[in-house]
Amino acid sequence: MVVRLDCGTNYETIYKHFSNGLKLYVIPKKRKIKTAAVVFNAGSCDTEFKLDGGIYSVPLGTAHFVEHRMFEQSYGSVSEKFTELGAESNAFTDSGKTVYYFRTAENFEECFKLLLDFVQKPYFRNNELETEKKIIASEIKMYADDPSWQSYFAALSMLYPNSPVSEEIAGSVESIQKINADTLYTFHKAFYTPENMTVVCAGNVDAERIIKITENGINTENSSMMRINRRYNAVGGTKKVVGSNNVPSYTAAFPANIGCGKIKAGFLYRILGDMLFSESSEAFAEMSGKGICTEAPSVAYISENGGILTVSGWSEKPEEIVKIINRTLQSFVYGGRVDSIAFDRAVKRLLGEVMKALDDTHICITAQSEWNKERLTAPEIISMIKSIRERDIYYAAEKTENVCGTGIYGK
Amino acid sequence: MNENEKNMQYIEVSEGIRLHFYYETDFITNFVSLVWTVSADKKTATTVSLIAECLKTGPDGNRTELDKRLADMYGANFDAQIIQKGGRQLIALNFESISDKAADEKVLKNGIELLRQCVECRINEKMLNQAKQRLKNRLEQKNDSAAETAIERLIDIVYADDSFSVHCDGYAEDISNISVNDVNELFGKIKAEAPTDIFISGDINKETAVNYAEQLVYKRRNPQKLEADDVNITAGCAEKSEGRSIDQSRIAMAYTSDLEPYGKDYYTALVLREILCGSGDSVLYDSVRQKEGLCYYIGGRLMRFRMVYIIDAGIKVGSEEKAASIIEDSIRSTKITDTMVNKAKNAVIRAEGETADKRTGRLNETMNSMLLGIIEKIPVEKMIESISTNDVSKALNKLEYKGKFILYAQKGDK
Repeated sequence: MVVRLDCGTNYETIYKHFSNGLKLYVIPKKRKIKTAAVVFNAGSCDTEFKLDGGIYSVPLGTAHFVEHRMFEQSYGSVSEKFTELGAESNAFTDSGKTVYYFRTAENFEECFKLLLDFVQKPYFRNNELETEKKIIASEIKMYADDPSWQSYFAALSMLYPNSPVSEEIAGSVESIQKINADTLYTFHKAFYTPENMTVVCAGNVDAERIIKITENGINTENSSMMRINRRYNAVGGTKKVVGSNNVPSYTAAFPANIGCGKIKAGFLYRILGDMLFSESSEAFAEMSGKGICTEAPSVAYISENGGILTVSGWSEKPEEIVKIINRTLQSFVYGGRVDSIAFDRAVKRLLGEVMKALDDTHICITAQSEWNKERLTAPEIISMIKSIRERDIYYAAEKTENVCGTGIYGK
Repeated sequence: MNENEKNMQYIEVSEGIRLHFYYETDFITNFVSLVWTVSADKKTATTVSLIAECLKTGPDGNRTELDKRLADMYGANFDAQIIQKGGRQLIALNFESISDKAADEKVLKNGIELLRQCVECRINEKMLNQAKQRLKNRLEQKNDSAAETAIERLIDIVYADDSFSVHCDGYAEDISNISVNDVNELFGKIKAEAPTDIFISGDINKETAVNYAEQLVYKRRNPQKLEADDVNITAGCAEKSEGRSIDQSRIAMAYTSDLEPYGKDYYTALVLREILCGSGDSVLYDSVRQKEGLCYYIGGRLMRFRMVYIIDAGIKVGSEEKAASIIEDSIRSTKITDTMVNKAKNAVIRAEGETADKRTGRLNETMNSMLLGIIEKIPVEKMIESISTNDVSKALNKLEYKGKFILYAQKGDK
């Protein structure tokens, strides 16, 4: 068991890495509610893989479908079991991972054992999948009416056409029809293994008890799974999707293959985004001066396909905004200099935002599930941010390619 | 600091201005909120909303300078927002920053200065014009949300003559007519007269908190008491529908309860909400989603200041009336059991714990207690434990259907 502590903030993380590859993190916090999560590195982009000598290609939306069905066991609903214990349970899938979690004020150990148990026991029956397909189809349609979601995926589809990263997490109404019980079992066997698994607990919890329960609670074997990672060349272009919203949503996406660790890359691009597009930036002054936006764009980074930087927001003149975004980024890459004051401010802001976010146990869980990819903890993250230098930001900007995928959704 | 000093303390700073102070070190942040309360009125709602919108950009409307100032305070959060509680409109100025200890510099003092400048400021034309544009955009975006639209329209028809149906974010059609004089006159009146609450919590001692609160007090004249918030619900049922170019229909339905919004009654109502529409094994989740596959999301909220349940869902096109029928039938045919009640009680206790774990949770509870006139404090767990199956059954039987709004999708597969 290893303990990491940041003295300024008193953030503490206890971790243990097991011999079967499983990673466990415990984040002690004085709270009424305790939270635990199991994270599998299996997301919507994991559609091709090798397993036991064969090559598999699963339909889009498979990871998300597995997440839905894992809550139905031979004995009934897992959600109901959690509810009986006084806990709330849920799960989510993104492009790179699936997370199952619960929150409770009582019976933490019983809930924790239930969590470890059910994620290892797939139970899929073809005759029960048809209703699930209707439910997921409804979910897909719900997101079809979400402007920022639609502009985001439109941008990715222009940047990397045919790449799984540009497809919706839940797949499409057509693709999920091709999923059957065998598909789900194969996916579970490939990805739901100890070496692909991280366990995170946060709250007023006993780390030693959690380690003991985890040691005794994992009895799955690792698989022979190997991901088939394809790299897609960036293409670019603009896609406009007609929607009913009066104020269009836009996203501009750029390849950002920085080459350093993905976690640090994410922070570098957040700082870059802050410097270039925050409310104190010249770009925002231009946008708001022209009356084409009222809120600063938001900047995000995902690590799929080598790294993608996105800049998103709302505007009545989205094409004009995207031109400003492109021009600002390229000007910085080809001749800009790092404004030291803006850099210091951006680092301070990022540090404060990370520290504040970690007051929330749910965010602790989701953040640690990302940081775990590089075996980092909160104290190390704080040190990492403090160690970022101006030249790192310039290097990050240089690594963005001059190719842009743009998505616009609105009237 | 002893245990008593660690609990919430209530101090009258000036006439009609109360300080609610909590010493705590469980969070890494310090939090300050200044709340003005007025009665919701269609004639002034937009002006009040514009006041908040102006203050979002700081004391002089210079967003660039405000952004720099907040970044220098380690990305401190500053916001001015409108909150609706029943027939009342609240303007809340909020500031949250990491503690001076975590930052190793004096952050909170700078935050108080920012708030003080906002309280003292006079809104100018530039601030107002920018605020108008932002508010217009925000109202358009709100209207674009099918889910929010369905709920808003439902409240409009069920509470047509009640101030609860006043749109506290404002009305787009009123924006252009409001002048800078209108805004400053109303802002001055609110600061001088409206009931005012200041919340300060974090790693701060009491004397410092009182000192900070005193800095936020504006010149008071003729302080007003809180006006009554009368309920005025439409007789019978109100039903309406509209069409929109969306992929999935939305439905919102209203049911009133005869329970009181405080004490054991309130928590009984929460237990009932949990049973009917609270979670993955609720009655409506099971009947509408799991059995019929008509939706992905179905949920419900209890609007405390009117004790009305609003149930809403995204419904498969062509199944709107069927869904409404299933919701009504499921509510009427539900038999409350001990198991249901025990599970629901655990969920309500957990939700209370989650509220306590949130920075603004205690603030919200304190405001609710004040606005509802709750004086007696009974431990929440005790109240919830005392709720019986019979209590919940009675509450269910007394639910009265009051209305429905459907937003029909006019594109997509049928």
